[in-house]
Amino acid sequence: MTSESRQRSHRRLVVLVAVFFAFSLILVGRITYWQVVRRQELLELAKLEHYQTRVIPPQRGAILDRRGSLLATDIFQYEIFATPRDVSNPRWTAEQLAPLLERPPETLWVLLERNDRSVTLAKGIPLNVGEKIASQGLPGVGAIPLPQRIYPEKELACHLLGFVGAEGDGFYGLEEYYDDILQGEPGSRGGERDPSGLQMIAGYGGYIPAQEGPTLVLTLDRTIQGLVEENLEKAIEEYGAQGGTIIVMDPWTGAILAMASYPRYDPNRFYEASEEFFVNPAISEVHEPGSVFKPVTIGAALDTGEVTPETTYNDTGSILVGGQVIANWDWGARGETTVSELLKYSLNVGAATMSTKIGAEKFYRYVRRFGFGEPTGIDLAGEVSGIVKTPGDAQWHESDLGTNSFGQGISVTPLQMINAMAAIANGGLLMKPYIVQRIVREDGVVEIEPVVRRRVISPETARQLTQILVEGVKKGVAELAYVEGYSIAAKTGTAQIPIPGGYDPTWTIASIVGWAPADDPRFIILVKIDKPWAAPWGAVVAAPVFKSLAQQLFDYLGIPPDEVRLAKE
Amino acid sequence: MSINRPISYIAQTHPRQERKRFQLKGKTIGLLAVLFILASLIGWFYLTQASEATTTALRLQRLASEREHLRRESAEIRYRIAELENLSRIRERARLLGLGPPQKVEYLYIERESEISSAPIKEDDLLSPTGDDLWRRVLSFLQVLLFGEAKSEGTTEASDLAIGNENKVEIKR
Repeated sequence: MTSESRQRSHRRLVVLVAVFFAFSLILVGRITYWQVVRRQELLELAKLEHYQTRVIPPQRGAILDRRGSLLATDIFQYEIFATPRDVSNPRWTAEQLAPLLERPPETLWVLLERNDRSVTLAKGIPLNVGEKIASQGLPGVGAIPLPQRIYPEKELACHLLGFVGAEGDGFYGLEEYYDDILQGEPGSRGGERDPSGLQMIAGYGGYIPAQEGPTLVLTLDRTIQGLVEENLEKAIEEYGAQGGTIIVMDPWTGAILAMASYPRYDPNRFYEASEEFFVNPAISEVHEPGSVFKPVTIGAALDTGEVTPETTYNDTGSILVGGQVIANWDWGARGETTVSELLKYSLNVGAATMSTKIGAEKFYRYVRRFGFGEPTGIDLAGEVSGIVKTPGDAQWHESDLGTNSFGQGISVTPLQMINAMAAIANGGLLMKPYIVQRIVREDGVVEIEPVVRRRVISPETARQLTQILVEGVKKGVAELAYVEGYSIAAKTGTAQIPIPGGYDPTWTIASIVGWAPADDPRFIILVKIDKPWAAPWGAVVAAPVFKSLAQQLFDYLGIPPDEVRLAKE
Repeated sequence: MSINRPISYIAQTHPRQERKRFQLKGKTIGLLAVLFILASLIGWFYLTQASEATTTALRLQRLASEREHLRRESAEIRYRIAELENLSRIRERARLLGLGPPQKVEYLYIERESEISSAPIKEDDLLSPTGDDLWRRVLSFLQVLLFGEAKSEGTTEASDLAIGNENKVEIKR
């Protein structure tokens, strides 16, 4: 072999090695790509082939009242299904299942004979029945436990609680507001499966238990809620009213003790009720408050120092504000009248005199301070702001200064109204109303503290107003709210209902807001009766309901009459 | 160079080579035995572990199922209790038992006794007697021994103290 041919053969060898090397590099590259770069993705794919994870649905957190009574919880109900191709003897299987599912065997047989991959035989099957079916091990028949929301007290506090839809989402009330918290964390059970889908014991892949959602402990008292709903229903029936709302609150903290509206619905069977029943009128519907608003006007006048309870004005029976004539509810003229008498006898002329005296700027500043025109911030879904027109707004008219002073031309929610009055009851502080007292999680408890939003009026103004309102119950228009032996501060209201072009000539909204004991309130109550047929007046319709409820609350809360209570101190 | 030797086509028989016999020496046997034992041990270990893992997995699976079952049962029981405590059910039961709302609640005011402290009573104070209490009890014991009747002074005082630290407002229905 010549040196030339040797060289040629050497070159060939080098080329061959290079080619092999290049191929090796490509191979290594590809292997690295599949094994390293896309490792996780491929592992997941491989896992899916033979590894199955079953999701364990979590239980939604329970809702309890302040004393631990259960208001909402999750139970488990079974869904029974079948895979017809795996059912060896459809007729026999149908006969086995029929008595348990309480369905005719023929119906089940038809379902089992279907050509579908999977058929649902029954839903909402009780726990004991579902477990019995699951333990029978009928070929091709399966049972899945699914959580189901239940409200043991049925209609009680329905507007406050809301409900849970078929997909497990909360709607309205607490269920919607705390939906994210209540949901809980789903768990899982995984493992390798054999070709027929059965879990292999040797390939058991772990179990993560589902975490129940936190429990909500409310400020609500079930017994008070029951009393409230009973009184409301009775009043609606007695006065032939079309609806109504009652709220009971602790004026010192803003804690809601009861909140009820009528008509009610059963959240267990929400699908049977009309959608309009779901809305909570206490926070989502506005109305013109009427004379219950007067303490706000008088509170503003007293707090600015423009007047005192003894200041007098001349009541001529009418007053002209912004071109509109304002008259008293009884069309009467009282002549020289004090501010105390104004409130005691609920005089529109006097209220308009006060609002014009302090001026629009100060009057609306106080209206805002009392929390009107903005949400109270309660932890319930669907709260609205109400409507307060102020100077500068396109729709505001000078006459509004007069009409707003006695609660006309201004829209408020029942909760805003009671919260504003609670500020007078507690010495001048506007609280943030709340319904959840405590959130109990597995890792600890979150206590909700009362929140003071702002000072509205001075303690002295609050004391003066309270005194006037107590007189109003003893000898004024709110006499029917008086409970023997107790000092009660309250204000009634009869509001007209606005309709396009004016006010409804027939219907009114009768209401009262009051607290007791007046000097050291344990509760504040708002009663609002919509469109009562028997009588239009708040003093006639709402005041007796207040009295009945207040009497029951004195007994239930163990509040002794003033004679005993004050002697004790 | 010429070849004088005739070519023979008959296969020549080679001298018989003696094949070396495979003989197991003591060393080899020992090595094989060790290997066998080692393999057996590894096998045994693997099988034990696999069996243990399977048993544990089965137990875990059962425990998980039991936990889920108990979770469901607990929810069911909680609901059943709530159903029995349902407000309208209690009202109905009370009505059937002849119970009703109180017709009148009368509050009685009991005067505060000046010598009673308003400080809360500690449990220890009631359980461990002071010197005076001890003497009173000894006297009381002697009285029982001598006259056969007990003067339950100490007990009365203790219960007075227990309830007397606040103004009593009693409810009479």
